[in-house]
Amino acid sequence: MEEKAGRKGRLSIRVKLLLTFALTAALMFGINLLLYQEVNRSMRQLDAVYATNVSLNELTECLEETQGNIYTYLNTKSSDSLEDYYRNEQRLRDMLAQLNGENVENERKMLEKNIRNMAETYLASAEEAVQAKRGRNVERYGELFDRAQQYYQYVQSAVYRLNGMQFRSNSDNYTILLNSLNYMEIVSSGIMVAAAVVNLLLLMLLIRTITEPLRQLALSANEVAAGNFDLTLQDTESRDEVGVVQHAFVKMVQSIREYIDRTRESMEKEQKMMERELLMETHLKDAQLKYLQAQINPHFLFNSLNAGAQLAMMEDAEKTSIFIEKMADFFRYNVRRSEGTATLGEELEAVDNYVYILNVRFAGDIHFEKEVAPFLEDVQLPSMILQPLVENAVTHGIRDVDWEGWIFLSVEPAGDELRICVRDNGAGMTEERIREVLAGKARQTEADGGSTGIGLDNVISRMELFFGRKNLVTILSDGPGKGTEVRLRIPVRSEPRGII
Amino acid sequence: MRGQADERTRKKKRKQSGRSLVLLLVLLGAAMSAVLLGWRYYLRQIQQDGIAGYASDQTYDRHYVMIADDSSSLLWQDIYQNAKRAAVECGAYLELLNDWESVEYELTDYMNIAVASKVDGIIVKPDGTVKMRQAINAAEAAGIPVITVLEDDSASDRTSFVGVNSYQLGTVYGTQILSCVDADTRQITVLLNRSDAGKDLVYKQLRATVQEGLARGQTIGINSLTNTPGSFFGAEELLRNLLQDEAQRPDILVCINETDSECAYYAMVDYNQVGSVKLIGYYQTERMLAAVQKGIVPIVITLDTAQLGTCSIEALEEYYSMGYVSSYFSVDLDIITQENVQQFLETETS
Repeated sequence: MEEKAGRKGRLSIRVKLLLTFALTAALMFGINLLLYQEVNRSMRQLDAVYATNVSLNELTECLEETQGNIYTYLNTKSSDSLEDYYRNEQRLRDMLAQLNGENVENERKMLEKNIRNMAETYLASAEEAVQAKRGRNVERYGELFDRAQQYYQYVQSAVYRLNGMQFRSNSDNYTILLNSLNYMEIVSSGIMVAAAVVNLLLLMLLIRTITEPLRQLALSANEVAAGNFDLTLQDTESRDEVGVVQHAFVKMVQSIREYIDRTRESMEKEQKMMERELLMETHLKDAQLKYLQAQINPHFLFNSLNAGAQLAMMEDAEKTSIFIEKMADFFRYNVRRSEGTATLGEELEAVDNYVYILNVRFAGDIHFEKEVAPFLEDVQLPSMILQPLVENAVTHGIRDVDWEGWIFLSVEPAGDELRICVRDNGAGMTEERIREVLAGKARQTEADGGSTGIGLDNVISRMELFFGRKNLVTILSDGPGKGTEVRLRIPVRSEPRGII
Repeated sequence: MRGQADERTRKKKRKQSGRSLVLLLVLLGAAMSAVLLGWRYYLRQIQQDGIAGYASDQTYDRHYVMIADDSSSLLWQDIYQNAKRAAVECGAYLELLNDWESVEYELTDYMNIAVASKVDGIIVKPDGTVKMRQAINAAEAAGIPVITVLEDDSASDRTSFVGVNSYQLGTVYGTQILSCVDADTRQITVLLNRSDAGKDLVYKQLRATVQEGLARGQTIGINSLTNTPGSFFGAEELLRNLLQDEAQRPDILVCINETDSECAYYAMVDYNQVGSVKLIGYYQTERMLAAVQKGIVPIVITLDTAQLGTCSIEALEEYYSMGYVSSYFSVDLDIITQENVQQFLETETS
C-alpha cells in the first residue's frame, strides 16, 4: 500500500492531469460506445424487420412482363415473346424461391407463402396455356389463359396487400424506431449528464489533490513571509512538482530556522563580549576614579610636600625631609603614571617609596627585600601593578601577625617572560580564598584606610587586558599562617601593548 | 508526537475521503448501469412488441384458411378465435382469408385464392351459389378438404359440415316462437337475408313447427321478408317500413342473422315498438344480451362458437390423420332468456 502510494506520489502533475483527462475521456468514450452499440443493435434489429428478400416491385414487374409475354405469345405466337416468357418465368421462379414457403406464425410471411404458391399455380396455368397454344387447342388455351389471368390478378392483389401490410408494419416500425430514438435521446442525455457530473467530480478530486498541497504551500509561504517560521506544513510523500517544491520549501524553512538560531547564538556571544568590554571599561574607570580621588589637587599636595621637605631640611630634620620627599615622589608617580604604562624600574622605585612610607608609618616593622635581575629596568608593564601587590602583602599578610613580617620581591627573567614574585610570611590564605580572589569575588572593603584603592582583581584585569592573555597572576599559599606568594608573568616585548 | 498524530489524522482523513470517493463512484456507476439496463430492456421490449409477429419462429405443419362472409362480425370473430386456438394446439396455422382491400372479391374468389395458394384446408360458410359449389368442388378436386360451417352445401363435394342443420334450427326457432305466442298474436315475420341460402329450409321448418304447435282454432300469419339483394343497408330500410306500417307490423319478429337482430333491435327501440313487437334475436352480441337482461328482447338464440371453431379444426385434423371424417358435426344451440342471461354475460366478460 505504501509502495503504491509512493508510486502514485511519484507521478508528475502533467502525468496526473493527463491521467485525469484520459480517465474521464475514457469514461465518456465508453458510455458513448455503449450507447451507440445499443443504437446500432436496435437499427440492425429494425433493419432485419424491414429487410425483405425480394423486392415486391420487382416481383410485380416480372409478373406483369410474364403475363404480357403470354398474352403476346398467345396472340401472335411469336418466338420472341415465348423466349421472353421463359426468361421471365425463370426470373419469377428465382424470386419466388426467395419468398417464405413455411407455415409460420406471421400474417405477412403467410401471405408471402400464398403469393409464392399462387404464382406457381399461375405459372402452371400459363405453361399449360402455352402448351395448349402449341397444340393449337384454341378452346383450351383460351380457357387456360382466362384462368391464368385470374390467378395473375389474385397474385397482384396479394402482392398489393402484402405491400400494404409492409407499409403499415414499416410505419409501425418507424414509430417504434422513433420512440426508441426519442427515448434514447433522453436516456443518453441523462447518462451524458451523469457521466459529466462524475467526470467533474473526478476532476475536482484529482485537481484538489494537485492544488491542495499548493494551497497549503501558499499559506505556509504567507506565514513565513509574516515571519513565522514555526510551520505546521509537513513534508509530503508526493513526489510531483508540487511535492518537490513543498519538500524544498520545508527544507528551506528548516535551514532558515537553523540559520536564525545560529545568528542569534553568535549575537548573544557578541553581546556577552560587549558586556565584558563594558565591564573592563568600568573597572578602569573605577581605578581611574580612585586615582583621581587620590589625586585631588595633587600639585598643591606635591608642592606642599616639597615645601614641607625644605622646611624640614632647614630645621635639620633630615629624616622628615626624606620622608616627605619620598611621599611626594610616590604620589607623583601615582599621578604621573595614571596614563597606563611604566617601566619596571619606575614600578620598583614606587614600591621602594611605598615601603619606606609604610616603615615610617609603622616604625620600620616591615622588612622588605627585593632581588631584581639586572638589565630589566626598561621592561614595559602596566603601571601600578607591583605596589598593590606589596600593599596587599602588608595589609592582608603581615600587618596583623604576631611574628616579624617580611616581604620579598623578586624579578627574574624566564624565557620570553619576566617572573615577578611578591612573597610574604603573613597570614596566608585558604585555597577557597585564593579561588575567590582570582575570580575577582573578594572585593576590598572601601573602609580600608591604608589602601591606595587598587585591588588585586584590578591588577589581574589590567594585566589580562594589557597582554591579552589570561592566567598571568598566580597566588600560592600553604594555608593560613603560612604566608602568601603572588606571582606575575610579564611577557617581555620590545613595544608596549597599548594604553590602559 | 503531535506530528505523528497529525500524520495519523491526515492518513485517516485521506482514507475516509478515498472511501467516500469509491462509494460515490460505485453509487453513480450503479445508477448509470441501472438506467442503461432499464433502457436496454425497454428498447428490446418495445421492439419485440413491434416485431413479435414477424420475428416469431413458431412454425406449423399445415395451413388452413377460413373464409367468412362477414369477418368483422362478432360471430365470425368468435368462431375464428376459437378455431385459431384449436388450430395452434394441433400445429396448424389458421388464416382468416377475407377483406382484401384492393378488390371486391366474392367468397368464391377467396375460395379460388385458397386453392391457388395450395392451402391444406378450407373452412367456409357457403353462400348457396353454384359458383361456390363449383369452387368447393374444385378445391376438393385439388385435394384440399373443405369444411362448411354454419351453412351447409350438401350438394357439393365438401368434406364435412360443422354447425346446426336447418331442420334443427327451424325446430328450435319454431319452439321458441311458440313460447312467445299469446292470444293476441296475429302475425309472425321472419327476416331472411340474401346470403342465408339455407335459411329457407330453416324458415320452412320453423313455419311447420309453429303451425303444428298452435292451438286449435288459432290462426297466425307467418311470413318471411328477404333483404333486398344488392343493398348493404337494406335491412334497416326494410325494418323501418315493416315497423311503421301498422298493417304489416308483426307481433313476433324473428331474426336468423346476427346483423339483422341488431338492426331489428335498434328499429324496435327507435320506432317505439318495444313491448308491442316481440323480437327473437340471433347470437349473443353484447347488446342483445343487455337487451335480454332488460327484458326488451325475450329470446336470443345462439350457437356455441367455441364448439363450432374447435369442431371445424378437429374435422380437418381428423381428415388428415384418418383420411376420412364424419360429414356432419353438430353444434349446440343455446337459448338465452332473462333467466340464464347472467351466465352468458359473465362468460362474455371473462
